[in-house]
Amino acid sequence: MILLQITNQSNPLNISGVLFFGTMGMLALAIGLVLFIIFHQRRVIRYQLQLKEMEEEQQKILLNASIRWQEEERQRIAADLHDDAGPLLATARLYLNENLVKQDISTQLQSIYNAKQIIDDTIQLIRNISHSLMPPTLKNFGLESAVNDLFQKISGSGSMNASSRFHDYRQRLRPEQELLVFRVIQELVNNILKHSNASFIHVTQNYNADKFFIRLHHDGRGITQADVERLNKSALGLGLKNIQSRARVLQAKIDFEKDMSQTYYKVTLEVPVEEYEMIT
Amino acid sequence: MVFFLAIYSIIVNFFILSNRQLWQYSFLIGRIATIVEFSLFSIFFFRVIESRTFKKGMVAISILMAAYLIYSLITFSNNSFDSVPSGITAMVFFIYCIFYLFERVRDPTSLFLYSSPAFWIVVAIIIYSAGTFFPFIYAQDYINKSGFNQEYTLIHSTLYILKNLLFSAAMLISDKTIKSSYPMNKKK
Repeated sequence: MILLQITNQSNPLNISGVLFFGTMGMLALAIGLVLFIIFHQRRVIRYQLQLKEMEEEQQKILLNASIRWQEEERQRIAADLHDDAGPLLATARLYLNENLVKQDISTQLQSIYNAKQIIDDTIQLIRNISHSLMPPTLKNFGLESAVNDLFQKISGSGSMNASSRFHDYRQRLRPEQELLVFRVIQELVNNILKHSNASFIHVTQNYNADKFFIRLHHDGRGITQADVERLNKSALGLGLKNIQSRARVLQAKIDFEKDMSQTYYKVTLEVPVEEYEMIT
Repeated sequence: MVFFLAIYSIIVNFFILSNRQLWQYSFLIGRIATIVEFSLFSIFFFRVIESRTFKKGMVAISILMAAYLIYSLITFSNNSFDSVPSGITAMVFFIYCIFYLFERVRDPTSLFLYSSPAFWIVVAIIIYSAGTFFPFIYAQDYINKSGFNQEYTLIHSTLYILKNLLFSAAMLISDKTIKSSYPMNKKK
């Protein structure tokens, strides 16, 4: 309205110029705005495509790591069965061959005793293989007992002090979640034993706001999130990729960092848990 | 809405051009066209804009504008162009368009924006509103001057054709692949 009043007083000859430049200015503004939106959208699309490609690549690496890990696990079980159980059973068979009936009674008894001993060893071996696949403590008594059991074995060796403290584990997770969390802890501990030269490992558990937390501290040579991301892009770090693959199945977040005091390395596993997922 | 507006424009222009006696009522017809256009575009923006707060503002603006447009239609003389409602309408649409575009930029799910008919309708409205703003506000005083009238007709006609071309493009665009991305195309 102010514009109208001004133009009422202004020279009519100038109106043509004002009209032309005003219209052109407004059109430039409108077209500029539309073009900005279009180019911005294109940039967003390009960025999202790149992000998708990166995610697919990451997914592929994790899948490959998972497959490789499965193959290695199968090979280990096959080797255990072939190299240990196979010869033991073959030896037991030798003791129990057809000629045994032709032997005197004391030799027969000795052979049967030896065969029994070998079969007992084989049973123990198969039990160990089975336990390595699914720890019975985990199945029967839960994650806390399984972790304590694992840490007792480590501490028992005398080379490292391993301890755990579960602050809020009145309710157990679902069996498949427990197994995955246990495998993650196992793999982390395994990495610490192999690479960190630590003198202690301490695991704590907490439950807060529908999230199940596992924190693992050690005083050895550790890795941070930046190292994890670097290793993710390389073919190295199969164990680490397995950890991430399991974390992804759990829909969990895993962080590798240095402690606030800059003395210890800390790994935090944050598993989202709904109330109904927990079994008493 | 755009389709109805196009039909309305065709009918009005056809009658004005075919009957010279109606030329004397061209300003009145123009003002009625402004009301129709404002109503249809407001409904369109109400459907495509997602922000509830902005929608509440739109309702308030629409009520005030409707009251003013009807008042100006009744009180203003028949033989002159009324710049105020046309200028305000153009500005209001310009703001609506900017808000719509701003909303779409902020929404990370609305990809391939230019494949949506709503986007091209908004482009048509923003270009037409921006381009006709100055001619509209000067028209009240200068429409009877031949130099201005020629310029006004040139600018308005060009933008009117462009607007209708963009509307046609919007109506022709097939939007099957991105139906879910836009509120206008969501099935209720």
